[in-house]
Amino acid sequence: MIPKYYEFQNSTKILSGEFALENIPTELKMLNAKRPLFLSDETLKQIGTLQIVLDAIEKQDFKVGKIYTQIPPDSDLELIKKIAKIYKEENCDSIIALGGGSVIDTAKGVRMVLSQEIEDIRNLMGAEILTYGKHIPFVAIPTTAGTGSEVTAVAVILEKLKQIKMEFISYNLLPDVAVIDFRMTKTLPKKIAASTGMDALCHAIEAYTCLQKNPMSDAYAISAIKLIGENLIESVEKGSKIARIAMANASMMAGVSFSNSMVGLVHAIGHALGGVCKVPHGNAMNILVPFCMKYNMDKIGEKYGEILLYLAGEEVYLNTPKDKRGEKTVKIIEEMKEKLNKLTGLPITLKEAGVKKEDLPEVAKKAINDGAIIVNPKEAGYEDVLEILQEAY
Amino acid sequence: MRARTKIITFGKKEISKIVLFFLYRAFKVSYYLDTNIEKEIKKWKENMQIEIKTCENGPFLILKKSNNQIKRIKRNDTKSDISIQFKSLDSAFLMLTGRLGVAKAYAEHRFILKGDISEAMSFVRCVDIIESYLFPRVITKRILKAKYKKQKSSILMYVHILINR
Ligand SMILES: [Fe+2]
Repeated sequence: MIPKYYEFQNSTKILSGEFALENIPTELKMLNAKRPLFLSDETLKQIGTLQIVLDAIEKQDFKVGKIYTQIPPDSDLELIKKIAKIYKEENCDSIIALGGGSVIDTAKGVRMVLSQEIEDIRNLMGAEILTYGKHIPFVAIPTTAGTGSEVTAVAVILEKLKQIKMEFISYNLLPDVAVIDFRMTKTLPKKIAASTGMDALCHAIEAYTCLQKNPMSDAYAISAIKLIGENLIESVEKGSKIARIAMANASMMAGVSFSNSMVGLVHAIGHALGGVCKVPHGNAMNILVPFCMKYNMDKIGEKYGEILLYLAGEEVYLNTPKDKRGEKTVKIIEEMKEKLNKLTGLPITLKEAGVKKEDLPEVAKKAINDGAIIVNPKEAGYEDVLEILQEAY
Repeated sequence: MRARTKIITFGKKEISKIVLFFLYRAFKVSYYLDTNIEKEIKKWKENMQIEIKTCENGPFLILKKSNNQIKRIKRNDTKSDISIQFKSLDSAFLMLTGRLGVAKAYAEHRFILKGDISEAMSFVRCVDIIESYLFPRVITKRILKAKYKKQKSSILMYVHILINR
């Protein structure tokens, strides 16, 4: 069904596969950039991932302007201002970000400060406030296969003083180039591969079923779900090159999809769980997804049923009666959860994730104020969310 | 611009002004007529200011909470905590005439949302409730995700909107 109206943008250029990293200098030159500021984190520096990228770039006789790796797991406004200062002092003219969601979000924040030419980005909070600004060439290299941050129009940045998570949504946040290379996800620990993979699956499922699904975002969501169905378990269990590259692509496509169609209830509750109980995002997604799907079933069960074909394949799809397909999709996801739990110990319930029961009301309170809840097709109030949380406990 | 377009745009602006007035009055009176609205607004910080702009220079509504009351700010030159600015008058008109819910309008990128998105969620819930009072069920069935259990009749709400305080 074609919606009455929709918007869609994915302007990020994708480089995926063999020797993708080696092409970064050419891309930067095409963007008129000569001195990139290279952002990453300490772990990637220690395990050698950073060096692999530097080698790939430097062997093309291309020099990085400055390397900064002190980025913690939570992006923070003060740090962003500090990095923006370094960028100016070092006369950089572009940004390369290597890492998971946090490094890439930090880079988006730095780029926002620089391109908008203001210090205080708090006034830019919200949806679609940013104008184009000064163009800062930006290359993102994801090292997890989940957030899709390399292709999303979203950045979440922590404001430590007020303890608020500032949310920015704008197509002007999209990186110019996203680079997917096997060498970047090769070292990803099994458990992280599992949880970030489930995050990607949630992105695709929610994008395919939420209020602003549209033919463009559907195409990306379906392709992502298909790749996840075929590759997630293998990419965790064996970590094979093909499976890992497939998952990195799936994550990216799911990112394109949800960046345009937005995420719903699973993310609203997941964000709150992260805020109140510090449950890692992917773990929260993995735990919550079947429970939220069951809650939404009466409203969008048919769409969940359509997903079955891509997630489980033709045979399962055709052997399941039409009205049972939605439930079957949930069943398949529950089986995936079981398998991932056996392989990596990824928690299945909130209890296993170390959540305290007395924190659930606070989580529910926060969840209903999360921006993602508005695009969930079924209304979910405080009581509903609390019930879902109790079921997932 | 063709004369026809001019007339229609003028009409849409005038109707928008009326709907925005009703929306303002509905916020004001539902604060003491509906406990759920009361609960939401009580959570807003003092002097919380929210604006809805139908388009860049079109009709607008600025609400402000002060002394446990909802007031209307008539001047357009103060900074609001939350701003909802539609990208076109026509998009705003769809919402104001009950053909597009707030959630769907947001999903369709019909407006620019300035401010803390989580703060805006409470406002959205209020608008949803108010729409249940202002619009007949045939309309709310289409634009609201769930049926709201009204605490007062719509007629009573309209009476308060038109004559009370
Ligand atoms: Fe996510």
